[in-house]
Amino acid sequence: MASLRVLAGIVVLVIVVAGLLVGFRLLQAPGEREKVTGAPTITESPTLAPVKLTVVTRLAPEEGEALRSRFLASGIAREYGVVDIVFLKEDVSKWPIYASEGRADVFLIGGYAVYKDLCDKGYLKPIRDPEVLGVAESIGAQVYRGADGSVCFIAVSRTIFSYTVNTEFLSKYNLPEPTSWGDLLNPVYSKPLLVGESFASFPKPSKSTTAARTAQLILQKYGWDEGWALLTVIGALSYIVESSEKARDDVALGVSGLAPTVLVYGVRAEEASGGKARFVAARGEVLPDVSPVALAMNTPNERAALAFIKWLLSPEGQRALAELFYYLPYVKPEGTRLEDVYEKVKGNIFNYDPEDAAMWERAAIYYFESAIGDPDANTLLKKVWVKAVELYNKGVIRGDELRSIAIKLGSPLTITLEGRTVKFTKDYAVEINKRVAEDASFRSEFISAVKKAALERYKVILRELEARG
Amino acid sequence: MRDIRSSLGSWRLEVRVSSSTLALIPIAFTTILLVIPVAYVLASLITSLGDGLSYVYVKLPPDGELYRVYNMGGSTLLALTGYDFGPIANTLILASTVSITATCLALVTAVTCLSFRGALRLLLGYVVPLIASLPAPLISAYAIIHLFHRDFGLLNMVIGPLLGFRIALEGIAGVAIYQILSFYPIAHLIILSYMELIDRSVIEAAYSLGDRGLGVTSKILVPLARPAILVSISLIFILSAEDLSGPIAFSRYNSARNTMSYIAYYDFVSELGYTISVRALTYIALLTIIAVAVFASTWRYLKSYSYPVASPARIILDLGLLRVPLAITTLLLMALATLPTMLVAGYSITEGWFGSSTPTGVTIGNYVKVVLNPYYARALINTVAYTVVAVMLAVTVAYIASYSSLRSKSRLSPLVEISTVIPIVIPGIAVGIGYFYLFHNIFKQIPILDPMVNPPLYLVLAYASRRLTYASRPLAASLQKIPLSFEEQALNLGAKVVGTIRTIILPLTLNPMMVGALLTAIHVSTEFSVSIVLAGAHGVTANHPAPVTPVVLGALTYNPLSIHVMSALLVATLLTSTITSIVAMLLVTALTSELGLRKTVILARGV
Repeated sequence: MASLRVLAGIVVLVIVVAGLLVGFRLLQAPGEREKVTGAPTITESPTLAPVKLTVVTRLAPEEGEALRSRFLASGIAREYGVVDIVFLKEDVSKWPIYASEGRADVFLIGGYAVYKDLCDKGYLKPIRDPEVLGVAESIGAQVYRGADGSVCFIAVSRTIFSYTVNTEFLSKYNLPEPTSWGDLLNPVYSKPLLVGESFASFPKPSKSTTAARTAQLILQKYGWDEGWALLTVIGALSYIVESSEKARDDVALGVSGLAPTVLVYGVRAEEASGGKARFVAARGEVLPDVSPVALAMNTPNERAALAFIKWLLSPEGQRALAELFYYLPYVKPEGTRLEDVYEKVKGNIFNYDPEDAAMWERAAIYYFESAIGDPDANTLLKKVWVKAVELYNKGVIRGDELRSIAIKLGSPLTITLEGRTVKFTKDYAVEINKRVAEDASFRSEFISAVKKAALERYKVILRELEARG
Repeated sequence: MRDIRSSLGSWRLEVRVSSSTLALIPIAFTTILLVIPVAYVLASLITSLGDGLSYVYVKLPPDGELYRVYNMGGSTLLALTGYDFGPIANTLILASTVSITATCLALVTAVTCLSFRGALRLLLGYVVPLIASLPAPLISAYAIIHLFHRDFGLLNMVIGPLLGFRIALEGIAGVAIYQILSFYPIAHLIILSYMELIDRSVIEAAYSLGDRGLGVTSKILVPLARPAILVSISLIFILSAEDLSGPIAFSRYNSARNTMSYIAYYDFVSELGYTISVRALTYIALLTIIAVAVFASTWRYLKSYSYPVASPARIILDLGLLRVPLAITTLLLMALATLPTMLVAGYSITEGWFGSSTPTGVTIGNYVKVVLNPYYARALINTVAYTVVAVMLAVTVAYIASYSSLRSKSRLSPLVEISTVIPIVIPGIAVGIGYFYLFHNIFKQIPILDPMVNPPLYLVLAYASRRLTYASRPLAASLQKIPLSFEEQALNLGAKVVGTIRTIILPLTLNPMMVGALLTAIHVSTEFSVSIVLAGAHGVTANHPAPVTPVVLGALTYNPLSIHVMSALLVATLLTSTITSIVAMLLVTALTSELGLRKTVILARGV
């Protein structure tokens, strides 16, 4: 018995030591990466110093790897001596450090507001290369200029936002497939609420670009007051979740019937659900958000970085963006899966104005999260809406009255902040937008004031409804 | 072998330190590695802390209900949801309920395991609870839906036809049950490892006086195990209060989101960049005060408690007629507790199980992919390396801290105790952000010390400091069992404090130390927040510095169908990290304590 234990101990020790040796070997291995067919080698470009580009992005590592393979196999990479390109998915808070300390060459993907902010603060190097600008102009890519008129960043493609539905969930409650966000005002979508479920999964806008863009689309399309009413009803109908991925997975699994998604997430949900989930191009409400690219302020490889941007704007690069990420390119993707989607969304694109949205985006995000997304506020909101729908189902209130209740619930609140009583109009949102973003104390006060006003309103409406039956 | 040891001993440096100096080590460790970085991030909000009072409230009457019954087209659904009293009350009620329930359950199963012998005792006493306590960050959220969803949850597919109704775990009630199942194995391990050290002669004396089973348990075992019970309650209380996995798994429901830990964490995270908030600062401060209060009360008891008997002889309890029903209860509890972990293990050996009631196939291909893919393999190796170093560091500091806090008469003892309990309540995201900004600003000209260039250094330090509580709690309970006379004799013979810890305390606390090392290893290897902030940016390469959690997050973000390979990666990493850490601890202990490997393993048996 003792000898068996000793033997077991020796075996364990050998396994551990072998594992450490293998691990050490791997750690010591040079940074070998999967060789890309056609990628330039140093000997092929003897006149050019080999370049390794660093791209800071919001793409997932797997997405970056896919793009890397395509780019390194391209003629442009060979021509400019780019032997490698690494994609680092970093939180946007760190992007200024990468720019100012010369640790990055290019920024890729992320929101318009992020790039505008970086541009305004001088973290982006102007793009002056006539060849790059010429290509951008030739395909109709949007260019964005800084205060001095120089080009700060270019949109290489567009991300498509709409929503994904789960047909099995819809069947469970016998619900029609919504054709637009406005359809959700129909009380039929409140059926799940009556048995303790929610119809949709809606991410918090501060944690999800998809949710933020959806809120912006609704406010721009339906107008400020009606838009907030619609968003409030959507909040009542929704599980408030903490990320776009969670919303995507909820609708893929059938936990909820609808989730705002970017196109690629819709496709993934379709694949993961075995076809039960389906991406829907909302009628007149497909939002094409720009997918920007920019030069980092102190890039050590400006020439090669510009070559990468040129490639992204080329037919090859546009095709890669379409095929890999389901982005809507400026060059129509012939012969790709996206061609059908392109046709479907073409007629439903909403003319989203990112510059307008950037002026009030932060204020709107935190207003949503306080008045609608906050756990206390959302619980009370659901209680109110369930009561209203029950009264509607009993015939105590009619459809137009239900709609009035929605408007009453969701119209912009009047809040008291820093001794001032003010309605949350669009102008006010623009006025406080920068301060909400940069002053943590003010943001906290704003959030508290909005939540307090929301709870008071919801309680008043609930009492009125309860008095009716 | 003796010659090797003696020649090693001849050139070993004997560190001469006093008790007070020793006390400074854990205090400095926590202050430099946790308090200062977090304070750096939140310092600008200190003047606004008064505004945080608006976040201190209780909802009366509470929202929601304990449960609700729905009649849905011919079938009945019992939805357990729970009351929502607001974040502070929710956290306290949840923590109290979970800690007391988990500890009571653990008492039952620990006592039952004392009646087993051999492999059964090892299996149900240690192996199964360890498996049950394995966290599976990110993937457990899918497992929870898969198990408990009201319509397609696996449990409802079984109990629905059997009982004629379905059960839905929703809201904060779901969080409570999830936490009880997750933390009860930890309570079981702490209590059992402590009870293993109780002198067998005390039990035999009771038997010879005619007492049996329940009488011996209630009159002797439970009173003697009081320190472990208190440690268990206090630790589980804080684990519940700071837990994120449970609230995230049920975060669709407002009451589950309405906990301090969830709100504080997500106040830091934003698509627009890291943010700070008065609310997060308020809740971190409150959680710290609660943790200090809870542990201070147990510390006072532990310091005054003294039943100095240490014996490696194993207790075999005679439970009489109760043995069978208790054994069945234990088996059922263990089975329930392991369900989420087993499902994650199930994902790792199957394919096509996402969103379906059954997988489309069984395969070991997921593990093959993990080993053959250099990107995944590198994440595994990184995690193992960081875990081993962090565990050794944490256990070393834990020993020093436990000794200083409970044994020395230094005025710093209360501060030492606080320094071992607050790490657990400080959100990892705040630590990660603090590390990045503070240490990058200080060391940006020294690449090897810059977190942007050398994240592994800071990952190890963050892991060791954040998980110090896991390492120190089991030790704190067992330290008082060692007779003071042993140490006094050593000191009289000229041994110094460090030597006393090394040659007396360490061998006699080997069993609980292994439990602490295991728990630390498990929670280090699955650490999420700091890993994402410091090592979340990496390309798909064979030499990236990331541990496994950012890799899993990236893959699941990209494609939920990667759940199978990611489960395999997580399981393989957990197993490798924990086994390697334990072996490393045994080897280091054997060398440090001069016991030799054989004696070390004997003393550590039962783990």
